Amino acid sequence: MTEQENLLEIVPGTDMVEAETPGVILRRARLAAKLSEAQVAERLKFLPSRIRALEQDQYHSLKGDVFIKGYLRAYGKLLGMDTDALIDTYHWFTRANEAVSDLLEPVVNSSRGLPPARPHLLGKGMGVVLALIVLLLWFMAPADREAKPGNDALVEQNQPVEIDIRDRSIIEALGNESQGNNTEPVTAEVSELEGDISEDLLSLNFSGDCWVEVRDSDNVIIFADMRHAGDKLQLTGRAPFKVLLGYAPVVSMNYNGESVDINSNTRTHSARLVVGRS
Amino acid sequence: MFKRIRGLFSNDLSIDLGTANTLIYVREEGIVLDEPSVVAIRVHNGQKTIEAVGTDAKRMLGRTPGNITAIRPLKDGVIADFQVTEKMLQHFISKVHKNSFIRPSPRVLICVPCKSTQVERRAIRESALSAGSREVRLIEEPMAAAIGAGLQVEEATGSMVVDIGGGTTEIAIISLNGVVYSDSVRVGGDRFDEAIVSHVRRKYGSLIGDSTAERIKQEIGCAYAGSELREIDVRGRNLAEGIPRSFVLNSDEILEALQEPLASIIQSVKRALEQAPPELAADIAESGIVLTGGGALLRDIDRLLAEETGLPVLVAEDPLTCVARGGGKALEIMDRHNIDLLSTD
Repeated sequence: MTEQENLLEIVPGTDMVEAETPGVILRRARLAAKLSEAQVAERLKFLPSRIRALEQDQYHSLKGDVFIKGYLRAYGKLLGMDTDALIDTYHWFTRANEAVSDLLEPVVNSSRGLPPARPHLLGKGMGVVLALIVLLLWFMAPADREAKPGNDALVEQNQPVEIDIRDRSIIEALGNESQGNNTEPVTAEVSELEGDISEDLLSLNFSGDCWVEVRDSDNVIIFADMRHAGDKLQLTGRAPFKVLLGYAPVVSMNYNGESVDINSNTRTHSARLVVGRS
Repeated sequence: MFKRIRGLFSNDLSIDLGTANTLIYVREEGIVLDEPSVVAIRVHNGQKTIEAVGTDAKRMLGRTPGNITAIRPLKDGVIADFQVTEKMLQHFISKVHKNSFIRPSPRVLICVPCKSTQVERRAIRESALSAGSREVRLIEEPMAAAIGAGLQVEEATGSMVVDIGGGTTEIAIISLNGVVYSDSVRVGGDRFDEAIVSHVRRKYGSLIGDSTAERIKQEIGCAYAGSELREIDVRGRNLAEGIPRSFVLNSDEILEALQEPLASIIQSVKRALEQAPPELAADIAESGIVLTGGGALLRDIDRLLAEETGLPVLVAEDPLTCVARGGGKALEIMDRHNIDLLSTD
C-alpha cells in the first residue's frame, strides 16, 4: 500500500472513502478524548473558530505555514498524538491540494477569467478612444486659431495637413540623405500646400558632424538626429524654431532664405537659439 | 584589497554567536556548523595555544588538567573574552570553508542581543573582523529569530517572538520589518542549569557539574506542573562525605528548581504585552506568541506561557536553528533590496 492509500479510510456504513486529513485526525482524536471544541479552545487559548478551521482543514484562514504547523502541533500535543506524524500528514495534504489546484487551474481561468476581463478591455478601449479625441482636439486647436474667418472649408482641409507637415519635415530631411524615391512626391505635396498655410523654412548646411534638435512653435520635436559633413537639412514648420546644435561651428543656417547668425557657446561649441518670429 | 580577492573564494555567512552554541548558516547550503561555544586553551611555558574548539572542547569542560582550561568566551550573549572569541570565530569560519589553500574572507552577519550595548556590539564586530571577515553586519537576535521561524515580518501585522537562548531571552514585537518593542533578560538555558545545580546542592548536599545539569534539564526538565512524571539517575560528589553518590531526581523537583528563572521570563513576556501598541497586541492575541531558541525545547514551556498570558503559544519548527537561518535570510533580503533595514547599525 502506498502512503496515500494508507491515508484513506472507508467511512463505516457507506461506500465513501474519507481522506485522513489532519483535520479529520484531530477531530476523531478530540471526540475520542471526549472534549468539546470549546474545551480545547480554552486549554490551548485558541479562538473556537480556529479549532473549527483546523478540524475542517481550512488553512487559508490561518496566518501562514509557521502558525498552521504551530497550531497543529499544539493541538496534537494536547490530545497526546504523535505531532511529527500529524505534520507529515499536513504536508501530504497541502501537496495533494496543490496538485489538484494545478490540474484545475486552466478550467478555473477559463471560467472565471472572462467576466473581469471584459470591463478591463472596455476600460482600455475607452482609454484609447479618449486619447484619440484629446489628440484630435489638440491638433485642431492651432488650426482654428490660424484659420481666417469664413474660410471653414480650408480649415477642414488643413486639419490633416498639420499632421502631415510634421511628418514631411522629417521625411524631407531624410530625403536629402539620398532617399530619392520618396523625395519627389513629398516635396511636390509641400509646394502645393505652401500657398495655403503660412510655413517657415529652416535650412541647415553641415561641414562636419553635429547633433541637431529642432522644435517647432508647439514645442514638438520635428527633427532630432546626427548630421554629417556635406549634409543639407531643410525643415518646414511653424516658427519660431527652437534649435539645439551640438557643434555649432560646422553649421550654417538659413531661415526663409535669410542667413542666421549662430552665436555659439565658445566653451562647448554648442548652441541653443530661437529662430523666426516670436 | 587582498580581503576582496579572498572574498571571491568565500561564502556569505550568518553566525548565531550564542552563549551555549555557535551556529553558522551558509547561503544555499543551510546550517553547516553547530558546535558549542567552548574553547580549550593549553598553557605551556607561559604561551597560550588553542587545544580544541567546539564539541571537542566541550567534552573537556570540567575535566581538564591544570595546564588546560576549557572556557566559554561568551557570557549572557556578549563577549566575555575578546581574544578567545576571535580565535573561536576564526576556527569556525575556516572550518566551513572547504578551500584550505586560500584563507577565507567572508561577508558575515552576526546576531546580537537586542539590549547589548554599543561597546558589546563593537567587540563582536571587531572580533569578527579580526577573525578574517571582510564585512560585518549585525542584526538583532529576535528579528533574525522571527525571520527564521517564518513569520511575515514585512507585513503590517504584529508578531511576537520569544527567543530563549543559552544566555539571554530575547522578546520582541515586530511589524513592517522593524522591532516595535524589544527586551532582553539575562535568563536562559545557563540559568536553568545553574538553578538545577543549586537545587541539587541544597536538597541532596551533592555537587553536580554544568554538563550533568544540562543533561538533567534536557531529559526530565519541564516547565508546567501536571506533565508526566519522569525520573533520572544522577551521580554527584556528596559535599559532606566527599565521595561520589548516586541519587534519583524527578521532573517535579526540576520544575521547582526552575521556578525562579521561568518567572523572570514570564514577567518579561507580560511586560512586553503591556507595552505593545493596542493594534499589535490584538494581532498577537489572535495569532499567538512564537517561541524559538533552545529554551523552547523545555517540555511544556509553551503551555506555561499560554496559561500565564492567556494567549496561544507556539513553538517554531526547529527552534534551535531559527536565529542562524533567519540571519541567512536577512542577508539575502538586504542584498536583494539593497537595504539595511534589518541591521542594527
